[in-house]
Amino acid sequence: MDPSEYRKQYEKEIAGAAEQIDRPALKGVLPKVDGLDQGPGLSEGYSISDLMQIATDSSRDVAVRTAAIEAIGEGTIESEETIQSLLVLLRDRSEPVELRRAVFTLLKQLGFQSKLFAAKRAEFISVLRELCDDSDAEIRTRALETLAQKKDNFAQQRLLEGLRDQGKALVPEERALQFLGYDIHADYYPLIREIAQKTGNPLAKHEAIRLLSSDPEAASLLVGIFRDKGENAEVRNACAAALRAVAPLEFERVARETALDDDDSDEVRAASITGLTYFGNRAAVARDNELSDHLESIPGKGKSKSLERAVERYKARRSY
Amino acid sequence: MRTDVSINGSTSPAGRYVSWAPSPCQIRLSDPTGATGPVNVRLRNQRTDVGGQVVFYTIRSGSGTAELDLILPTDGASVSFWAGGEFGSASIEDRDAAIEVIDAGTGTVLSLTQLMVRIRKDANTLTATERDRFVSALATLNDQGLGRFSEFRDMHTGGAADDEAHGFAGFLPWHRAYILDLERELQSIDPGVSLPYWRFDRPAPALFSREFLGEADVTGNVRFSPDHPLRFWRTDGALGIIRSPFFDSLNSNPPVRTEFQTLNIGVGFGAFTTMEGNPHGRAHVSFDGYINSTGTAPRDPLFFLLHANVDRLWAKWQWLNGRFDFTAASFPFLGSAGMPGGTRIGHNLNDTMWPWNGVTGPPRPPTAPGGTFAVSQNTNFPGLRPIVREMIDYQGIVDAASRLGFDYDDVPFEFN
Repeated sequence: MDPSEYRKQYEKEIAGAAEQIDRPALKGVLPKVDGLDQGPGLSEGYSISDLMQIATDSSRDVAVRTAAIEAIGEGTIESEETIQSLLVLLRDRSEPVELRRAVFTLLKQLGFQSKLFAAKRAEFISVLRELCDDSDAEIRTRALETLAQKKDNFAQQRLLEGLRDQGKALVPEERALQFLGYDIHADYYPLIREIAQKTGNPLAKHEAIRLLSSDPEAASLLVGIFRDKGENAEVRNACAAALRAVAPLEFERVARETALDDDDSDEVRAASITGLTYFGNRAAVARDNELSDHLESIPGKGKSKSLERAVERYKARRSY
Repeated sequence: MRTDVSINGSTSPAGRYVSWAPSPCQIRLSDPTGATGPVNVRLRNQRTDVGGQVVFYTIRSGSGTAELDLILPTDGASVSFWAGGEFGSASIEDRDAAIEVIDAGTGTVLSLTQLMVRIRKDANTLTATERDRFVSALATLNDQGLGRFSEFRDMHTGGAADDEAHGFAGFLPWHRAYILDLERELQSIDPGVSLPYWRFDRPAPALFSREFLGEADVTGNVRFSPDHPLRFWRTDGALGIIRSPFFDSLNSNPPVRTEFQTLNIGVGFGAFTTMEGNPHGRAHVSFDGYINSTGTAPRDPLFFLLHANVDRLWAKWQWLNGRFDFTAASFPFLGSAGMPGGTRIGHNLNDTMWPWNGVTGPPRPPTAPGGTFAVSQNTNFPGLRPIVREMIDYQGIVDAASRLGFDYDDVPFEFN
């Protein structure tokens, strides 16, 4: 392809393209006024302050207000007051939930770009803590996740409380575990092991196992769940991966047993073989003729494609 | 009679990777048996129907030619030339391209040098082999949280490290360096790998599949096919990846600026860099999970593909507007921190970049993970402690030596 021809074509295409994201909801909302400070690439030529005026006007339709919030995300906020106004909107439970969700997304976006946001970070945390018991599940969940990402102790304690006492749960069990996973503390492990053993919720079980990949005392529990052929395959495979992290030799032993077991699930065998291929002891894999010979018999026997692929990769690695 | 070709200053296979930007090459008559005087040779692609394709240059100008005639002295002295990938003809596999040298008089093949036209591609268009090699290298680099990947994760955290990479002019150069450092580590595992990009203004169903970067379940846990090595992915002591899209990842894309809208933001760097908000920030927050916060984003491998696209957009803007020089339109802060008109340290043209500079203590962060910058077998740039300036002329248009050794499938190389 000739680069100069490519350039001609590209320049033609870009010249004909729309310059801004189309937001029909904002068309004609405010009269155009000469001399307004226009941010680069903002919808309808509005400034940030125009858009905030629209967004904070409770007499307007929520779709218009939400569109204004989304359009702000295309500009550069240069005033702490704008961020403050956004925090007020987020915090106000009387505002429409669609608007508050859009504000949440915008504030998260500002976390990636805005120097000014750093000055408002502490207040954002404070607002998020208030939102931990918001009536809207999405806002509540996102608030807790954002706090968990920041390793916020307040959020961690509320999540733990909810795991111990279902009546105090702010989010489902699996989400609480997931959020605690942003900053795992060793003193969480006894509770997480108990959940892995006892919960009837497979999603929570999977989350608990994910987190146990750093708990050296979880090895025997993980082996037990992994060996249970009646257990969900994804849970068993998560156990294998966690076991490899906490007890690599134990993992190699049980993964090998599973790889040799023609009566076990293809999915679990494929994952076990993959683990041995990538993370098994190279020398041990190279010497293991029994396993290699057994795996030779798998292709073409009506086994799943993922199992066959796993076997091919194992053989390829073994021959390095 | 025999010839030897060196690419990127080396006759070793490790040097045989080119991008669109021309690489320095040399050819010599290593065995002159049968030559009665200087030998006319022709360099060409061994096959033109498959594999990566190369174009040749005697001087750094113009658009390169499919064949090149040279005259080689019998004393074995080297003759220089340049070779780069033919735009639009990237390799699909390692060493699927080959420079064939023939005696221009007799047609006898004097040497065959296999190489790769190694290019960063749209992740949604990769072949299964390209995809699998990439994820294998990534899984190996991660090594369940024990591998070098943990240092890349530690380079992009919240707190003091945040200001090194975000919110100031150096956002684009810093991330260009970051993903290039990672890519070179992947290439030390598998040299045929390059970092693909997530084209976030288009649907990418192949990328968000169980065979590639996974498909979210109801809790946002990313699920992979049973034989996928990333099911062993582990960061910060926890297995797995949490990523739940707010958009239909099979049929749609996040609500970000399109490529054209992004490139139309402005012709000067000061305006263009506002893309840090949208589409960059917008793409990040189009999910729940690791990727939607600066402190946790690199725990998700998608982060690196997202930033490869951000970098591609910058590269394309540079190409469109000729922004490879050191003027304010290409980068606004032309001096060093502390000089009049300068900005925060790390974001001026002549500033070193953390963490590769190893500098710790205020205003830099308290630690500097990862050590010095990864070296390449294909170029000497940017060196162990890169400066912002070295990220601008990434194709070596202004200074051939500045080439960083990567290119994007849809951003050509053109001499000014």
